Amino acid sequence: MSPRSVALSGWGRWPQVEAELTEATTLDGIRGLVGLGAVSVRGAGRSYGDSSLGTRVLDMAHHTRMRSFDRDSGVAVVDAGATIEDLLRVFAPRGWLPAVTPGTRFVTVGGALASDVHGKNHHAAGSFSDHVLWFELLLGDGEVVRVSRESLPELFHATAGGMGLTGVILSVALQLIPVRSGRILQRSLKLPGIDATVAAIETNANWTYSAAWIDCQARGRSLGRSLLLLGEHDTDGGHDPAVNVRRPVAIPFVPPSGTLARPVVSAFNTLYHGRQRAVERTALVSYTSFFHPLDAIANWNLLYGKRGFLQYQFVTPAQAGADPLRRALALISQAPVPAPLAVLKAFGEANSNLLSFPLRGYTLAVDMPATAAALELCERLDRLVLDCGGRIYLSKDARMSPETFRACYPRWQEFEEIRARHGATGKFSTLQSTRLGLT
Amino acid sequence: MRRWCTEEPTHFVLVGRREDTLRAISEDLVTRGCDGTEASIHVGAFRDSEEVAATVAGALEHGRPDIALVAFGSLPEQAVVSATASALTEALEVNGVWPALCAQLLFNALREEGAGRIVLLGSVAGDRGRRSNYAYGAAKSLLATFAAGLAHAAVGTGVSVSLVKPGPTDTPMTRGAGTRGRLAAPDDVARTIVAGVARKQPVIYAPPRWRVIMAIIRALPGPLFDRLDI
Repeated sequence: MSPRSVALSGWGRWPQVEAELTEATTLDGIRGLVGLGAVSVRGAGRSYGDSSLGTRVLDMAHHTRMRSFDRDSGVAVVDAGATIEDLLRVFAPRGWLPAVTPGTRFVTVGGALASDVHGKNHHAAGSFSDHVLWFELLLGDGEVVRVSRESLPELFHATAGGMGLTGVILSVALQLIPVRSGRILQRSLKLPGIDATVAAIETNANWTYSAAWIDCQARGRSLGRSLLLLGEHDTDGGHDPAVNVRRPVAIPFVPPSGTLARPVVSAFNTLYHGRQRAVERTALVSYTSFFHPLDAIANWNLLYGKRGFLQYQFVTPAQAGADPLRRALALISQAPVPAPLAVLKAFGEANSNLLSFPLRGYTLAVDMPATAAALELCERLDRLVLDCGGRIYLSKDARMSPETFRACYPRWQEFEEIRARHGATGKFSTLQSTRLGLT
Repeated sequence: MRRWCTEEPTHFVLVGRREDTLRAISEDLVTRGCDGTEASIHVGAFRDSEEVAATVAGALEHGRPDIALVAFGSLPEQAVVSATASALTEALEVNGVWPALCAQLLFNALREEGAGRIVLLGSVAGDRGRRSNYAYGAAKSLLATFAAGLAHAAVGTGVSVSLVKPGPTDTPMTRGAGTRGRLAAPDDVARTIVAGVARKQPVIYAPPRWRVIMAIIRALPGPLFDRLDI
């Protein structure tokens, strides 16, 4: 219950700050902390930048209890600290899966809602909050409200994607999806460049799951060469839980910051792209290896060494076509930044949330070490993204300016008004919200 | 507890002081458990021997348990209990006297049935008194001796008694108590406990490496032990 002084960072390990971390185990404990003044709400700390950081941080990761599950409808009610992994462990063996899963199973449900995360099926299923029926929210005055699209629409659409700035998400009611198997039928296509990749994404839009791994180091005619991974739930094969949940291995030390230097990354990418000889391959793979391949290494974020890394993820509108992607990849491949693989996927329609990231178009996510050169590259990418009417993902961000934020998220004022109406102003803030000029 | 219910349908009877907490735990067990998992709750107090007796009797009205887990206590700050008589008394009672009384009452009931397992939650802190938490440690060592005696008394009755000695584990009790070093993952500790109880092991260290660590700490000669800041 009592606060601890700790060094905190997001998943990117940059920036790192000293924070007072309080784990409130009871509702009264949470109320008491919120009563003290500005508080930052943190789940598993899997957002990359500074959106879970602040000087006074409420740790919600231990609120992992599950409240109910309706075996007929597939509606699960869980506390906000339960993770996607918890959902997989408990419900996958019974034939129910989360409708949307991000690239890691270690995020909390509360964090997934606050970030309104998406998965490889965004074009078909929308984002995480689109499968949330209601949630409980503790407001700035300590009152707990049950929020649904019907009961409190403005609070629902401000909180989903609202980065924890409207209140403390306490529990979430989720609609799970029934599946006949825990395995995924995976088809992978090896594609020579960006135009072929975008064309293949469009012609295969009927696949439920779709995302391309792009080699960011390839230039010239190979610019944007990729492996496009498509997936569909297998129609039989049972629900062996061991297939889905494996214990990750951990990197036991922090390697030197230069481990992922440009030549190493280039060689890895060439090998990765070249590993698949055939142009097309089909296989049955486990749920985990399809959705959460990086989870096999518990702390892969250490690979970037002490200085940490940042992930830059943007979306460009569909009407702009593949051209902004081509220009972005050219910028990335020419910058003195060892950017390994990037992930490209097509988004479906945006939802009605005020700060949710997805909009119809193409999204590209790329990791880079936190260096001055990388920050400069991000600035150039910002301009490109804004020029074509795109936006940058808040859950990955650690560095965008208030001006960029406002251009990306034009409904920010509405967001601020709703926060003010519900007593969130000055109560819930993070390093990110302060940096972005939110009150 | 979650570990037990994923394997086979289990009926839990949860006993504790706070109804809201018990209810939340029972919902969690039923939601996570396999089909057929049930949980009932019994609210009771543990502040004196009458209250403990009433609580145990009330819990037993839900049916005779196959496995009875006695796991309550609180980790006091040694500085506080050293300075306050009432806090010291409470620390010794909550962590030692009342759990021992629970175990005895459960044993008396289970002996009539001629079957059942009693599991007491001790601690590695009970293995040797240390200046940093000897009040808690002494209460836990009371439980250790009590469990050993109860196990001896249980020979031939069909009842078994196990004492669990967890090392520092990542739980609400240890977090915020300024615990140093690495805390064990609750899931690993739970796995060890379930396996040990299934084998009717009399003393279960969890994680098992603490058996070795504590053997060394117990064997340290006094002058050397005195120099340790533990």
